Amino acid sequence: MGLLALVAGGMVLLIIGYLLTNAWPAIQAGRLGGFFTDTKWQPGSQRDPRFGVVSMLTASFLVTFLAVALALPVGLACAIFHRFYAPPVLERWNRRMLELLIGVPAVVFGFWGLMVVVPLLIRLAPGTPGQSLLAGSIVLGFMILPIITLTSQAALQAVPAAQLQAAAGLGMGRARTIWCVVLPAAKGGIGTGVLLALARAIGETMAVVLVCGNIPQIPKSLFDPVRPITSTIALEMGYATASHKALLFCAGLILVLCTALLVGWISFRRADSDPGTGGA
Amino acid sequence: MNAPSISLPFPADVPAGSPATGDATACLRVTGLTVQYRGFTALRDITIDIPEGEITALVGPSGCGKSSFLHSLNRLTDLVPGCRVTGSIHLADGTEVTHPKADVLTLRGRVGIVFQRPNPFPQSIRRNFEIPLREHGWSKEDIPDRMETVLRQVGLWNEVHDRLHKSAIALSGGQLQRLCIARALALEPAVILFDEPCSALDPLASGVVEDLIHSLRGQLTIVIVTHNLAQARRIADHAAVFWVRDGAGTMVEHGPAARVFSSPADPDAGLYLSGARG
Ligand SMILES: Nc1ncnc2c1ncn2[C@@H]1O[C@H](COP(=O)(O)OP(=O)(O)OP(=O)(O)O)[C@@H](O)[C@H]1O
Ligand SMILES: [Mg+2]
Repeated sequence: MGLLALVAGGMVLLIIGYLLTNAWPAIQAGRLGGFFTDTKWQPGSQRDPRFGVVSMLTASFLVTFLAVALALPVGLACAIFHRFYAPPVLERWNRRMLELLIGVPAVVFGFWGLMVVVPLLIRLAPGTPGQSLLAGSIVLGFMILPIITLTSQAALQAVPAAQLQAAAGLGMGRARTIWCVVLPAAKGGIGTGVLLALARAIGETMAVVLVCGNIPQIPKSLFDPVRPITSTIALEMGYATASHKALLFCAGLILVLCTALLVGWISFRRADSDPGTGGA
Repeated sequence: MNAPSISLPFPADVPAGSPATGDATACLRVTGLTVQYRGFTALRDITIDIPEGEITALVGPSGCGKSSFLHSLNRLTDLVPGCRVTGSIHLADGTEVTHPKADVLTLRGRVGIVFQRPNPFPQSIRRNFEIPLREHGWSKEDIPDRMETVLRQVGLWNEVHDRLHKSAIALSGGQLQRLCIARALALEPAVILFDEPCSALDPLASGVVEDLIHSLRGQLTIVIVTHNLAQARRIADHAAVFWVRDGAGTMVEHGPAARVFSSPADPDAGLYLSGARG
């Protein structure tokens, strides 16, 4: 057991080490500064190479957070419905569907986004390309919806029956019981689900390549095309030459570190929050 | 212990000619109550009047349906899928507890319950009062006063008044149980049901809670399930002994506590109360 755990932990270090060695040429060449000061991304250019990743980093985070912002209310409502309102047959059917949704490959999601979401957005905001920050968020939102719903539902189910009995014994109705008793007790577990969803969304590549529009810029509106870091790596790794390649590894490394910071920060906040509130 | 019961102001519409078990009016009238779990009869044909303002103790061996009886008094049996309750239960004001269209939430506000394991919400002490009181229509401004009153009543105010914003679950077991009693009292119930309120507590805390329950006598009607016969003897005005007969729980003995404990008519009850069985 301990050994297996070590393998899992070691794997992370191995990956970071691998990224670091491959990124090293770029770091050594002193190009890291340009990462955050340059505004353009044209690493292949002979005359004027620029390595700004800020716009792509921004895109990655915007798409991710927006996806969670879209999926969390829907997923939570779904979980509450399943747990407290739905007849068992409907609940079981719906849960099976969500479990299936988890298994749908990202490329299929991307394809669906391209054929359904993008045309819809064009109709909604005529004159925009459709492939945009919003399109990416919607598609990603659907991808993480089952994760958020199923983990939230598990968190709601983990609230001790004694708490429900206490609320019932005090003559509390369903709505207030859910809002004031169940959700506070389940928020830890729900937070874990959101964390999983965030991690899943920020690393997602295939779906966003297809629907985000792939223009490296800081978006001014939801309908602007963007290019998350993962898309950049996927699109350019195939033809990148030595120094360009090192830059892409650098970008990957930055994404990993950002994700690690995010995960660390959220779990730190959760451990820090008032000890009275149980949960997972 | 069994002082003559004080008469309390009481609504006039008590069913006439009530076959009183003691000398007080009935606060809860239970007639032919049967509780079944998916066809399994846990409790059969219970008929008893619970006297107003006094303490009624329910005793009997494990599994004889005492909790089922208590839970049917405020419809907590509704929470158990497959549980069927037949017979009738009436409150003194005429409310039919068992009526399918009864306002269950209001009813539970009037017939409160305290469980064996203290079950505070794992939130601040203040929230533990705000949540149920808001549900029952109390305005935000009135809640602090109500909370202070009941916390004083259970003797917890001095211990917690400076930490109302802190988590309730940091309190000791005895304090938690008193908090839960205060929380139930806050809703101004006419009846409080206690389901073995002391059995998860150490003897000292148990004594404190017992004294507290005893001090509520006269203010509201109390029904207490206890496995502690000495406790029942100390605080009860009326007693009912439950027993499993033919596979189902029944009430084999009930009446004024002094009589039930000194000269029970039922042989099983007699052996149980003398400590020889159960
Ligand atoms: N939710 C339930 N589903 C099925 N059977 C139940 C349920 N609750 C209680 N029973 C059964 O009903 C009978 C009476 O149970 P109950 O809890 O009312 O007894 P009790 O007198 O309170 O026992 P104890 O002293 O152990 O608390 C028992 O045989 C029990 O197994
Ligand atoms: Mg019981």
